[in-house]
Amino acid sequence: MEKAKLSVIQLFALMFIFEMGTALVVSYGTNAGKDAWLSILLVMCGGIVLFYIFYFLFRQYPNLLFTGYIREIFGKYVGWIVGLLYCLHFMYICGRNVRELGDLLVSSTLSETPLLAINLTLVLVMCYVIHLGIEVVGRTAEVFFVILLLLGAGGNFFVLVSGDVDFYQIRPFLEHGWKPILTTAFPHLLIFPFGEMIAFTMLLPYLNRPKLVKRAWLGAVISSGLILSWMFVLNTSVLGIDVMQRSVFPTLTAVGKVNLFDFIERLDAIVVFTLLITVFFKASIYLYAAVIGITDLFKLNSYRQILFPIGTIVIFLSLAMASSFSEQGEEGFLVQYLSVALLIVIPLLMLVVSIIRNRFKKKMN
Amino acid sequence: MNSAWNRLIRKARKPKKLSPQYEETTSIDKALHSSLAENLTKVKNSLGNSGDLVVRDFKMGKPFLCKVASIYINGLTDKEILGNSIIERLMNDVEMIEEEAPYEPGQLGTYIKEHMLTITNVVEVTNFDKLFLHLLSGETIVLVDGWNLGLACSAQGGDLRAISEPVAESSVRGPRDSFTESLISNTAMIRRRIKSPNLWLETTEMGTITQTGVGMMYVKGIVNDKLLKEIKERLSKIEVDEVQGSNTIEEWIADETWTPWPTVFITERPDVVAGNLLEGRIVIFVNETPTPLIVPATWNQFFQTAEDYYLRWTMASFLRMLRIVSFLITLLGPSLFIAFLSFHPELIPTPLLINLAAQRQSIPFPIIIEALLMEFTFEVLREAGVRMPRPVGQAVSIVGALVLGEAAVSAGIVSSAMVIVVAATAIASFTIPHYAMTDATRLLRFGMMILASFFGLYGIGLGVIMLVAHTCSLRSFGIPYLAPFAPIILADQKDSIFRFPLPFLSKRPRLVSQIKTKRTDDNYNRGPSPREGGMKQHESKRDSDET
Amino acid sequence: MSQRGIPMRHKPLMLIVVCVFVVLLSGCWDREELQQLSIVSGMAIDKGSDKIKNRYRVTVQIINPSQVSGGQQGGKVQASPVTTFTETGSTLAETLRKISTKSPGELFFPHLQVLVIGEKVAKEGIEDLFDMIERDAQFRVLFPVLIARGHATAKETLEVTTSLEAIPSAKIGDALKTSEEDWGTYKSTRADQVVQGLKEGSVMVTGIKIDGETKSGNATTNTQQISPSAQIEIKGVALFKNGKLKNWLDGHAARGVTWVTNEMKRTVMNLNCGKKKEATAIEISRAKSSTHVTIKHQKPVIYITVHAEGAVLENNCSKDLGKSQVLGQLDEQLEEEIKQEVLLTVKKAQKQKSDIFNFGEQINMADKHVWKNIESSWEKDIFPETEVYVNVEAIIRRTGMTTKSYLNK
Repeated sequence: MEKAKLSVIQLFALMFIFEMGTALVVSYGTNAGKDAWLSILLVMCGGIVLFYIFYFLFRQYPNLLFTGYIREIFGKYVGWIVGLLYCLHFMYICGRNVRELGDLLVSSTLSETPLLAINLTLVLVMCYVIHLGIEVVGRTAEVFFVILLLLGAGGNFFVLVSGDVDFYQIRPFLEHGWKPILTTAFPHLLIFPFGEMIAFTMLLPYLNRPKLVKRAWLGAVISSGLILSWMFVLNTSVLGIDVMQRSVFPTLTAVGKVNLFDFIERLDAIVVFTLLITVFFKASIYLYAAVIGITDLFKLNSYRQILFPIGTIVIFLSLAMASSFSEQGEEGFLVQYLSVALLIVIPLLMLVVSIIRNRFKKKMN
Repeated sequence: MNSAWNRLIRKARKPKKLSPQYEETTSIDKALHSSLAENLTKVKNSLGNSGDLVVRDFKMGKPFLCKVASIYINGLTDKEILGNSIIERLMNDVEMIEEEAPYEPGQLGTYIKEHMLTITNVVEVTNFDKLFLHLLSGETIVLVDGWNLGLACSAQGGDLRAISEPVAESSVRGPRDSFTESLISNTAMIRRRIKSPNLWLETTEMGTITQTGVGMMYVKGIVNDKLLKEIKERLSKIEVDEVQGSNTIEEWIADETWTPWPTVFITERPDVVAGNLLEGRIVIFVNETPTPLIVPATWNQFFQTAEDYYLRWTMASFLRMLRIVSFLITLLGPSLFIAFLSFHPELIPTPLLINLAAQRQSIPFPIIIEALLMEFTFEVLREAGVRMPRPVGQAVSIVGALVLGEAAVSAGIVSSAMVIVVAATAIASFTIPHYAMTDATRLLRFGMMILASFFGLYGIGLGVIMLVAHTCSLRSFGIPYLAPFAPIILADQKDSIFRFPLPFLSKRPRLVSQIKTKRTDDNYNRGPSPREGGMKQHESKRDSDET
Repeated sequence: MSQRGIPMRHKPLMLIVVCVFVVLLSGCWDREELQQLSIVSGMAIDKGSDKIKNRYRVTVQIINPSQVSGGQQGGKVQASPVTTFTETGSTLAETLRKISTKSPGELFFPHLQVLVIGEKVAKEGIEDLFDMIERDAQFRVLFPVLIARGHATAKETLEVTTSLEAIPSAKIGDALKTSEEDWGTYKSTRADQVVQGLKEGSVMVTGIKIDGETKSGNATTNTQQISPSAQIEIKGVALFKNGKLKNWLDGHAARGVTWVTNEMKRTVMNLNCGKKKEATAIEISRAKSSTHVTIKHQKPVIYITVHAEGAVLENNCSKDLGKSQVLGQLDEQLEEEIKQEVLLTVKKAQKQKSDIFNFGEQINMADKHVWKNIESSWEKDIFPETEVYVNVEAIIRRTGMTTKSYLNK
């Protein structure tokens, strides 16, 4: 662990941008049809529940990283293996996110550029920023949080004003009943992105006022849930549920339709920048979590030594992951079951075990 | 990777070794001799019989037995004072001596010092180092035969520049005086503005050969004591031959070397200095330099001018936002142009695209080459404009306008759109008030252009992220460079991009002073409720960012 | 240095440097020089010569920028501001790529202004034409789609030089927009709306025809006369069912479509004045319509409500418009006119068995259970029999600068 401190606003900014992630641009929850916004709100509540799991664990071990208290709870050897599993999971998801950004860029604007170039440059910049320290990442997140809000407000404003919005496209409610809403929500939407907040358990010890974790985390979960839900409503109002379900990057398509006074048009750049910012921070947090975890597990001196090698692994992972975009989507489906285990089941188990242990200790005393 | 940089820095910061010859002459025989003749010989030899060294020896006392000499450097001395207050006194007021007991050199010296010299400041000099320091600062040395001390009398004069209007930072409504090269004159200008006994000045000499006077001013009670200690430490570590200009000190004490951004603020206006002092900052004056340093400095300081506080808050806020927008134009203008035209023509409205395409039909260069060529040419033009003598100025501006503008476009070497972009960028860069920031932006925009030429908008996005991250990692004397944007300090936002009306600016920038955060009296009620002051304890130099 | 090779601690740095150079030195892949792009402003799709290999004949209209704007390199030859290239092929994508054998630069589609489809192709089905437009990132789906009617092919439609605007595609787009705003009869359809309509089953597309001699349009001399021999005209709305052109709507029927879909901006309606037919002209300045569905006995009943506001533009009849009673009468006449137009359109659609107004979705919103039951047979059986009630409220607010006309009769 380095001697850095994050402030609450920085943590909130990081969490918020993290939650937005790729969900802001990529098709999110459209399996539930027109009621996906309900799914998202449901999952937000699920995210709050997950938060409490992590929060109680954090309260038990306020100064340890996640990989640290895994070993406390499960014992040295089993815990070490499980910790390593988590680090690998973080690296994999990091690679996934990098891959998704690369795919977006190549599909929409930079069509000739090889994926390697985009991924390589992105990971290099990520390594540089992480190298500067988590505090710098936090401060940069603060600056970009404001920029993201401005971009978002601008994009929303233009879409709403351009007149293409027809909120009736959302109706009728519950067209196909509750079943699709629930099946999409659990487990798929819960994992991504609310379950992924587990990466922040590696960052919580850095907070300078640990009592305010609740505020930052809950604030981020609720605000991002609301915004994601709203984005779905807006996109569907502009595109219609049919196009929404068929398109790869709905927000991009929706913003691309803005045409105001024949002058304010072709605003794709807003969406591309938004995705760049959100994916950058999301992947950075994952990379940092993985690197810190490995430093902790292997008892290295400083995480900086291993930063670049792991970055290289992530680059290769992101390229080797899937050979086509559709394969990537399907792989995501498979991964989600693994994620359920890692992100929900195991932390729950850990919480239960640690509570029992503490009761034992109290009884013994 | 770290070690390579560290080694480079260590090398750069090693103090220079003085030449062996110089060392010899200063190490031996430092104390003054008793014999006047020996002292005079020593002084003359050390200065190599310099033509501007004047020795005036005369005799004092009945029967003119005491030999006295006054030494001064021609040109540095006010001859009137010298004549009236020193030499006249010493030569004519002999009667006083007769009445006393037979003199002894030491007594005579003390007597001269305490009764005869009607000069404003007299200091006793014990060794040659001090003697040369005072002599070469313009003071007159009085040596008495048989006394192993000397008297340094301040009769400084000589020709100095008068107080004039500022060159780089002019204002319409505010005061028009600017600093000169004299340390004392500069500090006096500050004293006139802050008539508080808490305004303290600490002076020292820096530069082993130049022995430049350096003064550090601060307001006790507002300034952060840790900061003060830190600066004093850093100043004491400087061991160089020469301190010519405040830039030497700036580069020695600055936190970060490997960054284009300036981390120390420089100004030539006393009102700016006074304002900064009252916020808890420290000013470092350097003799012979009209631009003192102000530490610590944050990024948004470089976008504020003194004028902001003399205009109404509406205009001041608007101008500040204008400057930030100009900064963005300077940094990103050419790169956005390159990105849009080369990589994303689909994002340009159709009529504009047709015009641009028509212009570019017969241009032989790709856009990036054209952009670099034009930007480089403009930099050359700008530098030429600064360097050349005034009479030739007209010619260069005509050549510049004609060549760059008309002829190049007509010849089909560059397109008019490119010329417009370059011109707009240049004009925007002039809006940035502080030239160090303009320099930084000018350099950075080349980097952005290259990134844009490889990856288009994505490259610009990456470049911006890297730049912001790098800037966030900087600290200026413990304060994060991008405060109050990162970490977000809401209270300070009132005076960064906007400038709220003065009654609302009731608090000082929080991280600078950290002691006395309220600007006004404790009983003052208007405005938001104040936080409690009180010194905050911090453990280490790299402090946390508090909310 | 006594060591051989690069010291260990420098290796990561070297690796980064090498990686970065590898990426950057191999070139900027996406960089395109503006002058090397062929900016496509219009596309025309006609029927090809056979069913498989040459299914479509595609023409692209490319802008010549220096002739369009006032370029510096002054006009060497008075070239035409646009050029067209044609090719045949089986899919749209293949055909467009084949055109590269003829065009000097890579075809650049984001600035496509208009897509014209020939009537013959329209009759056979346009379903296969829009997938590429949706899928390829280069196509921005906001451009209007038109059907070339009459004897001219779509290709010929794009090859008519136009006065007052150098690029014919731009002129077509502008004419479409102007007519939509001022005359309101021929509603425009964007490509994405066409796609949506194809998915739902029925769609309406505006028509375009050449007025005059087709052949003489293809020359710059066409615009050098005061009255060009060939001109582009927006005319008619085509009704599609299952992607095939079934019918054309003109005049009042076409305007009815605009009324129902709530896209009426401004138009002029003529009213009778006693014995004189079509004597008074009313400008409709604002119109709003909404559709409402109620379910009666498990059957949907459609209510269309139209609110319109207008002003008298021309009055060739002796009625005194200064009296509000007279205006009230005109109001009622207007309401009746509008109602007739709407009913005319709806009847035609019902006869056609195509739900071009997407009433089905309204039923879905009103009661999704009923919709589930009737969805499959909606267009064929239920829609033609559905009752449609039209309610119009029109108010004439102003009479211009005069009240009574100077006519005495």
